[in-house]
Amino acid sequence: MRLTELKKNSNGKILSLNTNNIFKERLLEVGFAKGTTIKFIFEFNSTFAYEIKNTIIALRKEDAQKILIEDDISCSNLK
Amino acid sequence: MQQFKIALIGNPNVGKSTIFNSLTNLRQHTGNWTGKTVISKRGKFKIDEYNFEVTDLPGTYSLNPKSKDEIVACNYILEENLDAIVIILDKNCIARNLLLALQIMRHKKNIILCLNFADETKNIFVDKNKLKKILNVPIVETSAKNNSGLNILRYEILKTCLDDYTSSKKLKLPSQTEKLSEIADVIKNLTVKRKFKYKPKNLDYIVTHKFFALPLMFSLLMIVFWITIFGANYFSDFLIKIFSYGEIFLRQLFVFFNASTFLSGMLIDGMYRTLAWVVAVMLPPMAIFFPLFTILEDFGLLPRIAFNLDGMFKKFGAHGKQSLTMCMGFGCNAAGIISCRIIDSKREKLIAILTNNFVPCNGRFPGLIILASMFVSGKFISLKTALIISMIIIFSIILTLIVSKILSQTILKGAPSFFILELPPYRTPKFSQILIRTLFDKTFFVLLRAIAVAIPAGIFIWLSANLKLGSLTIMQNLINFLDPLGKIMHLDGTILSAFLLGMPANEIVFPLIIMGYEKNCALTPIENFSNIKEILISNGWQLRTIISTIIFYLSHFPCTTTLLTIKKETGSFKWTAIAFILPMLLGFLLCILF
Repeated sequence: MRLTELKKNSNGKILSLNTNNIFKERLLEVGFAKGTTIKFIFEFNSTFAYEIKNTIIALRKEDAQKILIEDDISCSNLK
Repeated sequence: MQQFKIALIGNPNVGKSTIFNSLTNLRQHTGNWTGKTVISKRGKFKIDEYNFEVTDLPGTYSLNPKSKDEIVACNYILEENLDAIVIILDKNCIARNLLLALQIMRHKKNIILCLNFADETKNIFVDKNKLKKILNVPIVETSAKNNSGLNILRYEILKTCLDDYTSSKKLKLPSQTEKLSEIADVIKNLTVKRKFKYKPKNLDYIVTHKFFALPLMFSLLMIVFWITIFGANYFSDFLIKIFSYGEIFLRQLFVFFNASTFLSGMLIDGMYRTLAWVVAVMLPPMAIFFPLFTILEDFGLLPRIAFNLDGMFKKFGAHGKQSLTMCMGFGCNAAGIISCRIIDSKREKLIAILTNNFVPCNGRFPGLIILASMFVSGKFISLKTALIISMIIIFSIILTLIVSKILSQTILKGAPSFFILELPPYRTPKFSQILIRTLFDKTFFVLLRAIAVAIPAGIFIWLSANLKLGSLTIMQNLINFLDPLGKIMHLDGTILSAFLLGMPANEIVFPLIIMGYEKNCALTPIENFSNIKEILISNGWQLRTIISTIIFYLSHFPCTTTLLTIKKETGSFKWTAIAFILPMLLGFLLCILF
């Protein structure tokens, strides 16, 4: 599912980054690697804040939409 | 006396500057990287009989540079012949910070890893021996804020510089960011254990709250604004007194040397008075505003402001970080222009630069207070005046947004860039360091600049008010020439001339207006405010005049220092010219139409 669909205070795992190359590189640099746990913590007026690798990174809604994650529920279903 | 060269590098917000300041103990120099508009910080320190030169590089997330800051940092690390490289990591998020370290380790061997913020991370245990075995570099834990671990760091720096690295091998690592990121994760999992999840007090709940955020931010702005004005008032009065003693002394000196009235007029009434006025008005607010601003920055509030306002700014075609450059512009527009470097996308950076002048700088505060108090009878600075000034500021913000929107639809068209912002945890600022840092870095240089500008301006103004062209002085001629244009704008020639002659520094605009009306030959320092009201009214000022003056005060060409800064930052005459014409034309239009 998309990162924007993550509910507040719930976790997900990064699956893929469907953005342009420069943005993708920057996302990787701040920790958005495949398999990393990410948590949606708060938002204000279409800007979202996520907790990832023990830091808080803010993204715009339309950029977060391009990031795909598996939420923890579907992870456990796979087992 | 051996000399070593080292550099500090790391992600943004890891405390590099604090460590740099602690190492160099203020034996440092801030400037620009030659040919680039990026700030360079170099300093010196000693260990025993060894001398060290240390460079504090701009924060960067990786060696694949995306911004000017990062390009400078990367080039320096890779190309400069350094004796040691200190990579500073935030112990809170080692995995992410390790990415940069691993990238550097592909190229260099003389590295020291410094895990900072040890004080906040007592619940995180790092197996330093294991980490050292894996990466083959010394590991030091520091808490720069508490000055702990720094002696060990110094020792390791010395050891690394003295070491000969021909025997050791560079780590064989891939170059792709994705793979390095995975390796960093693996290393972190092997060496870092978290005892419990540390949940710090969360201010973010309030700061980004649906209802509280905007009122909170606006109140913060107003608080900083008013502390600056009130504090500066007392400080300015004090400086004016001192300068007037200085003037008396100078006059006696000139009399003693039998100087001509022309010379004493030009140098004392012109140059000295203008200089005294600019310094007395410019220095106090900046000495208060910049430390306050830096406290907010170090505390961690500024990213939250950019976070909250990004949604709105995006709708107006701009970037959330523009809110921060506007805040800086409240202090000084030239400083605001420089702060536009934090915006990576060229398009949005230009929008921020071109609109920065709509926000009134410290130099315009006294003028605004006078204008606001014109609406009020009686007490000079009252609650009503405060309310009016608040409305003026809101108006300048709205103006900035609307012009940004227009620019983004016309000459600066393009898609919005991407927005990634790190929100560091709230940290108590190191107040003593802030005071000294801002005093030297910002206030001192602003002061130097002001002096460089006020001296020629003072001479020029005195000459224009005392040399005659035909039967009238140059200034009178100018006033008469501009009067028709002024009248269309609901102003007059005197006001427009004051703006024109006040181009070197906004501080002198109002004194020039008074000088024009009173037909004085020199700037008269504004001491008696009720006096000003009478002077203005007796020269034909009406409600309409006050409104137009406020509009033009917010929307006119930038001062010469700001223009020079714009030229330096953009490297283009074209954009500097646009920066000059845009607010001026808009000011004309708004004054005429309203």
